Amino acid sequence: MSLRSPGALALATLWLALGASPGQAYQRTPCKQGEKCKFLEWQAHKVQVYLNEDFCRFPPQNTALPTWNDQVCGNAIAGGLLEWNNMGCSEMALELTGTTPRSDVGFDPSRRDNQNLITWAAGALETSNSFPKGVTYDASAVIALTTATYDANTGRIVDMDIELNGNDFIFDMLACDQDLWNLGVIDLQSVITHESGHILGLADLYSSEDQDFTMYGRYEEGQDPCAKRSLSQDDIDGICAIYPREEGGCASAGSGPGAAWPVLLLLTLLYRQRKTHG
Amino acid sequence: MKKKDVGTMRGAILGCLAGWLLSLAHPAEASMAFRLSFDQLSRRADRVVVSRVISAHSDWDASHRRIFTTYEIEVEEDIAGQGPRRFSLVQPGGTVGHLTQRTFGLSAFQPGQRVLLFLGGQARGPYVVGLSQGVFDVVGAGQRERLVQRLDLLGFPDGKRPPLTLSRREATAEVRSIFRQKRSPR
Repeated sequence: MSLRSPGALALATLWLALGASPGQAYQRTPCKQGEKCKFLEWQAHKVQVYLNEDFCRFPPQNTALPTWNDQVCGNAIAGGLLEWNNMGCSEMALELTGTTPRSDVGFDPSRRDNQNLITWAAGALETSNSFPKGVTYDASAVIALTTATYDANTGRIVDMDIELNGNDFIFDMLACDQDLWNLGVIDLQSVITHESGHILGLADLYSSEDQDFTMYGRYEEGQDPCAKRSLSQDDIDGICAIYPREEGGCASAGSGPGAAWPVLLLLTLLYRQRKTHG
Repeated sequence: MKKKDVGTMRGAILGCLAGWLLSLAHPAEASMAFRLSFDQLSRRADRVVVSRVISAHSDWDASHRRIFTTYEIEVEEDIAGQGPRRFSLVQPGGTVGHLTQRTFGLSAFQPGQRVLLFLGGQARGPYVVGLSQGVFDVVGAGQRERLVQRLDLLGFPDGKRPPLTLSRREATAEVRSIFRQKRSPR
């Protein structure tokens, strides 16, 4: 099949549009249907994250294994966040600014003391104090829940909070142990590293080819329990594409796979047709 | 322009459009949940209804930190369980002015949409079981009516699978069978 045939062109376009270009598997978190923006991203290049002060000291009963240690917990949280920093091609940095007594997920546009939070989910069935009376949602099957506040016109994130469900799932810092992993214990640092990718605007990946990536969304038996602690080149490429360093580094500030390639390909084809026949 | 060129151009344009549409539809997840089977959804639910969304209204809560959307829901058919024919479903998330707040994994609804809902919390205020797993869009009409599960921005530890799809008749029979079992435990 000639590369100029319609079939080949259609296949090439599909391949590019689906983000199958070499070395680029990352996906960005999209805006909702009907919104002006396409993807979620921060405007600032430093995102400050606060840890609820009880997170390491008083984990939910289910998670509080004898191996739990609040010092190691703190290191795991910091390690997961800071893994995304110091990339040559991006200025973006996540900062664990400190602990906070607050656990109120959300964002108040009239205040300046909003915080991006990491906290435990309030309970198996969410009945947050900040909810209006009678409002609940079913969090019992949820491992991690992300709540984002952003500008619907631009996609600029103003707040991002993560709740982990330690009531129904077990998190620990020593779960690189394959036996613990097989018992269903989830490595805290791996989860925080993965969720930090969400804070920055990256979404999960599910292709089996992507299983070495931090943003791979699957946890399975036989997998290295701590594989997600370290970023792959694709995770780095994702962050560098969204938040490129101004000078040098990444060449593209593209909007992720499939954004402009189909249009470029079509324009090139139209130009060639016109040149040949005009 | 020759006929062959027109064919070439048409093929390329169709390919580009298909690629463009597929790239827009590519899903991505940001919250992670434990997958619930149809059976588990039915067991966790107090009520299962085919319903129509009448209206949606988003507003800040009293603390002005969270946006909630109140959906007015009208029941077309009670598949299992009982409750009022019209009720309010309040969920975190929504858009007020230019700000959107989104809890990934919770479904948003548009007025006019028809959905099968697995509902819990009837006494305290209804919620959808399993976040968006408990929402099925009603697609088509009559004999061809199908129920297609929504999985809005929800990831699962066992990876991505196609959403559950079944006929309304199949769904009704299965849900009612499970509710009968729940009423008469061995």
